[in-house]
Amino acid sequence: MAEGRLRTTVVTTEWSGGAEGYLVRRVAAALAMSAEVTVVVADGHRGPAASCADGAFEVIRVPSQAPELRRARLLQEALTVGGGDVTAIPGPVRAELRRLGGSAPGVGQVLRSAAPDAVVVAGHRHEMAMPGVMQGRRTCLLALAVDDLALALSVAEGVGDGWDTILATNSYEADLLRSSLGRSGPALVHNLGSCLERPSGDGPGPAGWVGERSWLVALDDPGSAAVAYLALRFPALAMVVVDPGAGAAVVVRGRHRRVEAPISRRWMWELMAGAVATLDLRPAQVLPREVLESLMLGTPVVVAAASGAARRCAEEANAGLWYRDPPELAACVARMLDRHSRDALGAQGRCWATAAHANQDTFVRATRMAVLGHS
Amino acid sequence: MEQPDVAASSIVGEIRARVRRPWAPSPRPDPLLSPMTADPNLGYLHRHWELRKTLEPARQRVPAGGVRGAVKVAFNRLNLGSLAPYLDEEQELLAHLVRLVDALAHRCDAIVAAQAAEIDSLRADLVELAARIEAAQVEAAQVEAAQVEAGPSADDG
Repeated sequence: MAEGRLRTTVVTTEWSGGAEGYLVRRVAAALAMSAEVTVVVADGHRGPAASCADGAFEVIRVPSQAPELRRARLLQEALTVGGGDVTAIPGPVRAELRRLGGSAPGVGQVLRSAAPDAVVVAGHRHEMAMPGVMQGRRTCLLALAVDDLALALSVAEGVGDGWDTILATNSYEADLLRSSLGRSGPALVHNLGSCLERPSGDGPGPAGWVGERSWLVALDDPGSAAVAYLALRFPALAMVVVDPGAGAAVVVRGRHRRVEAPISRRWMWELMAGAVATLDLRPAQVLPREVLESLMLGTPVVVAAASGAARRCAEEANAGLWYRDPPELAACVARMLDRHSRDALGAQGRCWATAAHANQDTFVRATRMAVLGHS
Repeated sequence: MEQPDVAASSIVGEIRARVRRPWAPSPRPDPLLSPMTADPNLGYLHRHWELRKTLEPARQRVPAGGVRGAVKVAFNRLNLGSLAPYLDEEQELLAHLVRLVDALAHRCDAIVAAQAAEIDSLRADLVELAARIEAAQVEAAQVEAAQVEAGPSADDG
């Protein structure tokens, strides 16, 4: 270990695939440029196997006890259905929710022996059994706040208290944290950005595979009602329905599905680069990664008005439209078929997304400043 | 600051102002009429129409001893004996009246239920009709768009 370098420990439950894991790995990598980084992963009994990212950091896996996150989430949603007040959930029920979230008591022991200068806790779904261990250290929470509900529940539990710094990865999340946690000072909530790899849309071109002159890229389940609705409303337009999580794509036109194939990320970028627009029809995401990639490729986006970070990106970039219901979605797609509007929005999106979310230097500086106190 | 070529928010505002939503009927009013058969007064009639029960204690009473008791029993028998036909008639009349009120209450409830079913059916027909009209409009717009895309035909001169 190099002498004089700060020691940082990243404690997380999110180290596998998905947007959360991607963000945690980016933060760990940014810190590793000037500090010794140890990653403590709180796994379930049948947690994810070691990934290639494990080779780049010192990774310690700690078993977590009885996490039942899906049940916890369902219970939360049932208790707050129709915008119910989270603070009205009785104490014993909240205790049950915490129990369902599981705990990782081994994390405290690891932190005691590692004795880091700074600790970053990514996500807040587990009880890490760390009181006392955090004393005298710089403590940062990478909140990964996907929606108002998760955050409201966390606020009710006091999860937002006691941190030196709270980290957000986009302006939507930062604003949500500031308003929910009641911390107006920008010093406590830092917006790091998301430091995406700049995608390349160059390649042999997937037009032959799609079999059409023009197409839309829709991020959704191919069997979703929104896809079926759009396919029937725009029978002359091909839709490439991509499920980034499953790495699969289907070409839909009218009532027909013609091609179904596994798809790489690079191929998805090529499809996005040639598309009329990218439609993100999925629920709100922590990191609207595919939306940002589409904007960097100069392809405008259409997102749900309630998609949180994705809608904020479309607004800030001035490069996307947002819809509330199927008729508005169809009208947004129709507007994208106007070449002038589509090209202007695409150009604006490329400028904004490249500057705001693909600048690695800015991300590394912001992360170091927030966690280590220097750039 | 340079003005953007196209403002996304103004396009969204324009779309929101322009988009026609599928037709839907106005919300159905809550049923204001509670069932007549559940009316508490009807319940009272059902519980109290039988007047013979009221006279039963007088008939069953054990006479007290002595002259006074014997006079009282004789007076009661005389009274009840002379009034019995009238009371029986009145009892029958009351029973018929209660049955009539009961039948009217059931009939009222059946009329209200039939009316509600008819309104629901009418609303469903209207929704289906609106959906058909909208589908026809979309189809016509698509045909028109396809014709514009295909360009003028030789028949157009």
